[in-house]
Amino acid sequence: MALFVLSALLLTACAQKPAAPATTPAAPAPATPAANEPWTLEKAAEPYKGQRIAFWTPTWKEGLDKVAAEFKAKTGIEVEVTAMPNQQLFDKFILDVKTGQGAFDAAMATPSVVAAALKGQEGIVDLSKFMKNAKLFDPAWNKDDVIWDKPSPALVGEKVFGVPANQGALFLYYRKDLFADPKHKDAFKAKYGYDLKPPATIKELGEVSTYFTETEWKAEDGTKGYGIAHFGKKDEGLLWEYEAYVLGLLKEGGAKEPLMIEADYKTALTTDAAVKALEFYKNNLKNSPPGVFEVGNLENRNLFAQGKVAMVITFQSFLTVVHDPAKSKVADKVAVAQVPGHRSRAGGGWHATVNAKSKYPEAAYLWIQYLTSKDVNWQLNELSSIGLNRYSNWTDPRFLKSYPYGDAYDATFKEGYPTPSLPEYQTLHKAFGEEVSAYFASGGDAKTVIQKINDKWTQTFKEAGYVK
Amino acid sequence: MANPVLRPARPAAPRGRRDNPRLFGWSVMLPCLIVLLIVGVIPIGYTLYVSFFKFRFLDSAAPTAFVGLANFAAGLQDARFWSSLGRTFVFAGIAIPLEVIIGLGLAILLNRNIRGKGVVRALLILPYMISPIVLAAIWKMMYDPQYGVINGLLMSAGLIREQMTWLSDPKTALGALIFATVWQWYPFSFLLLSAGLETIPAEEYEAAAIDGASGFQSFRYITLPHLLASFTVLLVVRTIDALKTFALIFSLTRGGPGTSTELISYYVYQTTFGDFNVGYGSALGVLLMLVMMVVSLWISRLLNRAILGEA
Repeated sequence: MALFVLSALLLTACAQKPAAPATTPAAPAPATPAANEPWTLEKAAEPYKGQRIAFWTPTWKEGLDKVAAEFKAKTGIEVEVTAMPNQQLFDKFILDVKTGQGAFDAAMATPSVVAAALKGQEGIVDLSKFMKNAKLFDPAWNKDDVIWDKPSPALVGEKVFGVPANQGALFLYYRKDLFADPKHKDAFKAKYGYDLKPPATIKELGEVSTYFTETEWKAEDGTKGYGIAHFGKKDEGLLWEYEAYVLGLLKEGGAKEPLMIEADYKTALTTDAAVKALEFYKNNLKNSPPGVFEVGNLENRNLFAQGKVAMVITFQSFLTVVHDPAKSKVADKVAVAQVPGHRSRAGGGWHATVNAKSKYPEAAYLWIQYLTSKDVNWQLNELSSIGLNRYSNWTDPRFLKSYPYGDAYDATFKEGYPTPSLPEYQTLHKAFGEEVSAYFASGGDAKTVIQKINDKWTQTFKEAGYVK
Repeated sequence: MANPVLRPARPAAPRGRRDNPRLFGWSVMLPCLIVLLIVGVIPIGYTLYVSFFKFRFLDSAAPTAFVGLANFAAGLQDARFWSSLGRTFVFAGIAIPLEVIIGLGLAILLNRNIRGKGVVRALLILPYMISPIVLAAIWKMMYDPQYGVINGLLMSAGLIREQMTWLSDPKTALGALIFATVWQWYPFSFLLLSAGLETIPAEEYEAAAIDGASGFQSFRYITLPHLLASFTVLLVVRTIDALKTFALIFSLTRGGPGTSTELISYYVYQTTFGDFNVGYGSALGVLLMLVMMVVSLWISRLLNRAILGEA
């Protein structure tokens, strides 16, 4: 056995190559467009007809398959769409770009995964070189219309490493029928001294959700209704929701544009608001239906769509689902407002990227240019509720007619904060999830929990070399 | 001149592999050795190699700096490594005896000529046939607080008054996983011990009966000693399996709530593939391998001593 291990070590040591330094491919000189010849996708894709690209996505497969079929009909480029759970996509994406396997040609990536792919190397392609190529670039594709994070990990100087395919904005969805019910309005005012309305502050959120839990009202299935469907499961959702509370409290306390992690890696966890936010979150879990610790991103939406809760805080991609009578029992009873505290996520969501090891980067670029274009994004939102990635789609009269919450959208984009984009974000949210899920289940001291999380985050920053 | 009749004939030289047993043996084993090298030895060797380096995947696709035994030292000082290892031993320490007791009981019950024995046996080993991921999906539904059959049955029987959150409560999560594991693995004990029971000569029981031994005495002095070898295999294999338990944790609890169900293999996975700290995770993996070797050697020696003692 020892002989085998020794021989294996020798073999692997001989096979080990030193890590190659990252090289930035030189952007080709922009081609001169032929005069008087309008750009068409069909013409742009001609040299790449017959190519087959692998595209990875976390969800929306049904809509993407339809769009891919239309893309193939126009271009002859086949797109094989593979959907997988978020965590699996993160892991496979990172492993692939770091090892250079090239198992996918294009894929969706969150801002932190984009940042991870760019750490130490350019694991994904700089798309600006294609954007400068008149043969490939669609002149109708408006870069400024896309809702980018500010700052965005995908925009590095002139380079563009990914394009938002949707938006990561959180909204408060609420039951407008319950809020408009005179019985509830009178009772709420009598108890709390102000008019019942979508909560604007964290304190109001607590009071409104308590009211709708303590007051008897029937859910759509005749069972007891509750105030709010919180994230309670040990996953990324805990941090999404917590961020809204702590940054909301900081903003209410006078901070201008608070962030979870500042430029100097000082975190919001070092503030008193961090402890208050966690205590609020734990105390308010009683206003969620039983089984809250099993409730994640899909479960909380489902609780609202089934009419079991008066409110839910979740992403903008829920808009089309909750208004669809085929999928929601409260389609005609829902309204949307800005998340209480007015400092929730409003950043770029999933970015469409091209693998640096793709054999067909031009074909992959044409696909993601198509997928993130105004009309196709609209189509995908209708088909699979992907969410809108462009200002023009958000302000489109058709959209505002169906989902007339322009004030909430404007305010959220104006006051929201960008999605965290550290490569180590997965480690941070795991550390958060472990401590907070234990605190929620077993109790304890919120200050100690926050301190532990901050210590773990600081350790992560040190190991990554961001702080000493 | 020597007499050719009196001089002994020299043996004929080997004509091929079949005539050379040693060469034939090596040639038959070679494909297996190559596969073992590729899927076993080389990955283990690479893991060992990487464990001596600082290797953070987010920073670089290859090990960056040789750190000697620093990763191992960090592992040995890592409270979370020890707590997850301790939790794993608790998990194995409860699950394995339960599997053995249930498996042995069923094996004894079915160790007789009864009608439909084959069918019953096939039904009993069904849980063992199900893939761990499918099994996890089944148990996730069964443990669901609102719609799960477990809460439904217990509430109908009046044993609980409100819905239990089996997988989200630190007090019940590990127990829930143990229960699911015992359900999956008791057939393995059953099969192994059934085979062991069938090797026990019936005459020994007959002789014991003639001598006036009770059922328990027959079990204690005939059945158990004959099954010691089976127990050895069972305990070694299941202990290693239990130390490797991953699919159930990954699918059901992700180590939560908090870290109450984080077993050692999940912690190693999280460190290596979640935090992408490949060097450190590899060192933890090597430490885990050493623990498995020590534990399995200890169990083997303990039981071999018992077997020899009985002999």
